[in-house]
This record gives sequence, structure tokens and C-alpha cells, in this order.
Amino acid sequence: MRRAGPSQPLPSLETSWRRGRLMPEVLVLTLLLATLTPLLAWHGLERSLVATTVTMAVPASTAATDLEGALQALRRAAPVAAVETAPPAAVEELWASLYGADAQAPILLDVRLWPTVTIDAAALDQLATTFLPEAVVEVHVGHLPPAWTTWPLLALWLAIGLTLGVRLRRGLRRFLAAERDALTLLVAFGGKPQRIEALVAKPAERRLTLASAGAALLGGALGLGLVATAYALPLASLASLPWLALPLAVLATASILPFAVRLLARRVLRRRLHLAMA
Amino acid sequence: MERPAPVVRLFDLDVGPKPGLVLVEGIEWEVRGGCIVAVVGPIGSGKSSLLRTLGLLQPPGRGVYEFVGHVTHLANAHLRASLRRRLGLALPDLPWLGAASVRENLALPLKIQETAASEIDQVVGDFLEWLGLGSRAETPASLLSDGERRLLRVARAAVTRPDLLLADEPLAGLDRATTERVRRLLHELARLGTAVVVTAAESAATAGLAHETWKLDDRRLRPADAAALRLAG
Repeated sequence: MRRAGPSQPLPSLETSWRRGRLMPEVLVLTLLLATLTPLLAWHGLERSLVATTVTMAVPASTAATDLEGALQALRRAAPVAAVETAPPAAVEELWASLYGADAQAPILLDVRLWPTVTIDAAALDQLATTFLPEAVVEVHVGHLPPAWTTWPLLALWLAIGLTLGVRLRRGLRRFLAAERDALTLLVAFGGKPQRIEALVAKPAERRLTLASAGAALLGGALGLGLVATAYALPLASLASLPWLALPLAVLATASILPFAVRLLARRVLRRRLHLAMA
Repeated sequence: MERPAPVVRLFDLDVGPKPGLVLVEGIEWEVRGGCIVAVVGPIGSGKSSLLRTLGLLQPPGRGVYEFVGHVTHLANAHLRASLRRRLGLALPDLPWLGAASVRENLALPLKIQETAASEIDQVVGDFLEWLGLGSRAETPASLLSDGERRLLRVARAAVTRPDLLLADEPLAGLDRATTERVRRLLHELARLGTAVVVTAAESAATAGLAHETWKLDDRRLRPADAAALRLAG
């Protein structure tokens, strides 16, 4: 018999995983996806927010406290995202051209609302005029059509997401094949059961943890992308979801995907290990 | 001269590719150390199933397989693992570590057996030179030609100098020079005391290699030459 020596690492799994041509591509694609997802989300969100606007033209003589009261009432009635005043110079110029140089320009307010389930335009109008009887209120409810930039952005996002999914699936299959080969060889050449456990099962667990973290990132991006897509297109039923849906969708996708990957891979590996050592 | 002890003894053994499917039945057989035995038979006659059973990769259907004095079906997981360390398997269904080099693949059985690193380097280096694969030592196994892979398969089985080496058609599809290398390797192993079992489709393929030849015929393992007949008698 040969002399027993110090335990040595096997060249099998770690090297085949490290040497795989998978990692750089996946890294680049993930970075691209991570960059595109917030872009797409912001793009869609902006369109959606702009789409729901209350425009109020208030006489210049309106007291500041009245104005503030009206805005507070609006905030209580509907989720206000932002209040913007129109550029004073532009308004004054327009007013002067209409009513003459001495006419005092009104204050124009654009109140942007977060998308909500329902926006009662008549109620908002009444509310604003209750506090500001002289205000001219115009409520725009509905979505603007998607900007032309939405489509290439969305197409790119989908293409990268799909490519990444395919690459990850291929990587997982390669990982399982490498584990299977190593396990077969370890058993066939007389690896001790506890050594097989140490060499195959434990490193496999570590790699699965890494794979799960990767899948969680991908899942998060996909979840966010789904919500972003709904706002970017916009899909009326999805875009009108309450805001709680966004983190929930992201969280659910990010949790379920790695869990599924891990469960599947663990079951396959454990079954093989059990069969091989029986 | 004293005959070497039997390495393999089979008593009324049935073998087949899976439980319930028997291709060869009632095998009564013995293989001794230092002997090269050929098992010939057509495709589907049960040659590979016999080798897989002898290689402890599948359980026999019925009967008793005794390897180096141990009844294999009574062995627990630890004993079975230690028995496997005394086997050399050159079977086509054993995979390669494709991304690993020729040297790493050849060293794998030694590493599994926890051989000292210095000894692994020396043994593997000697083997590579002897096989003429020295220049390909760092090449990934997946890039080898079919002939080189067959040669490496036998070498990987032989590198631990096992008590029993099982090779499924080791000479099929090899050129003359490689065939000669494999023959020399197997003869050298047998000279050192290893029992070698090889398979072939026809007995001509193992002429000049095997000391005795057996034939799988009509679900039975029968002697096919005078040497085998003498042992069977």
C-alpha cells in the first residue's frame, strides 16, 4: 500500500468553476442590468407622475397662508409627490401679452400626484376652489403615452435579462454536471464516505450559497424591472397598484428565485450523494 | 512454483445492467494475481455489466462476489470504499475532469487515496513520460484525442498499482504504437502482481495480451482457450 500523506485539495470542482468562461460575461451583464433597471424605473415613473397633475392658476394677490392651506388640504386628499411653480418670467410674459403690461400675473402651481387607485377630479377641483375661490383649477388624470426612448430601453433590458437567465441556467447545469462527475470519480476510486461528504457536499453548499445570492440580485432586478415596465408602458391596471406593491414584488421575486434554485440543486446533489454512498 | 492467491472469486453469480435484468447467470470464476484474463463476447452479451459488478459500481443480481477475501455484498460503506481503493477502473462510463489537466486527472486516484504529494509528483511524472504524454501534461483532458483519452483511461486505472484492474475494450480504436504502449503497461502491472481483466468483442483483439480467454456465450461464461479450460476443469 502507498503511504498516506497530507490531505490535498482535488483539482476538480473549484478549478472547473473558476475556469468557466461564465463569470466575466455574467458580471458584465449583471452590471448592465443593474444600470438599466433604475433607468427604466425612473423613466417609467417620471412619465407616470407627470401624467397625474393638478394645475392651479391662482391670482397673484392670494395670501400665502391661503395658498399653503389649499396645498395642505390637497395633500390630505391625495398623495402629493411634488409642487412646482411655473417659471415666473414665462408666466408674466404670457400674461402681459394677453392682458397688457400692467396686468398682474397669477401664480401657476403644478401639483404632481403619486399614482393612486382612484383620483376624483371633481372632488379635487371643489377642494381647491373651497380654499381658493378665485383659483382656476385644471386636473389631468391619466397617463402620457410612453416616450420613444422607452422601447429601446425596455428591449435592451429584456434582452440582457433573458441572456443572463440563460447563462445562469447553463452555469447551473455545468455546476451540477461537474459535481456529478467528481462524485462518480470519488466513489469509484474509493474515496472515504466522510471525505466525499467534505469534498463534494460542503463545497457544493458554499457554491450554492453564492449562486443563491446571485439569483437574489437577479430576482431583485427582475422584480423592479417588472414594476418599472408597468409604469413605463404604462399598463393601466398594474400602474395603478398601490405603492406597497413595488417592494413586495421585488422582495417576492428576489426571495423565490434563489430559494427555488437552491432547493432544486440541493435535492439533486443530496440524492446523488445518497445513491452513490448507499 | 506457488500459484498467486485469487483476487476475484465468483460463486453462482448473476450479472445484468440493472436489477431484475440478467445477461449472464451462474458464473463460477476465479482470477488470480499476476494474470491477464480476457472476456470476449458480442455487444450486449454482458461484458460491461460484468466489469461494473467486479468494479463495485453495481451490485450483483444473485450469488456471491468475493474480492481479495471479502464478500462484497456484506461489506459496509467504509470497507467497500477501502476495497475500491484496491481496484483500477478503465471503464468508458467513468468521466473526466474535463477542465483539469492530464496531470491532474492522472493524479486524481492518488489524491483520493491521500498519497503524499511528493510521491504523486514522482509517480505521475514517470507515468506521463513512459506513456509519451509528457508534452501534453498540462493540456485540459477535454482537448485530448480519442486515442490519447483511451490511453489516459488505462493509465489512470493503473497509477495506484491496484490488486485488480478492469479495462473495457482497452485496445479498441488505438493505433499500433498506442496499442503497444497499453500492452506493455498491462503486462508490467501483471508482472507486479495485479490481476487484469480486459474485454473485447473478439478474441483476436486480445491475442498476445491475455494469459487466458473466456467467452460470454448463451448467458454463460465459458472457457475459450486451453489455459482457461485447464482452470475451469
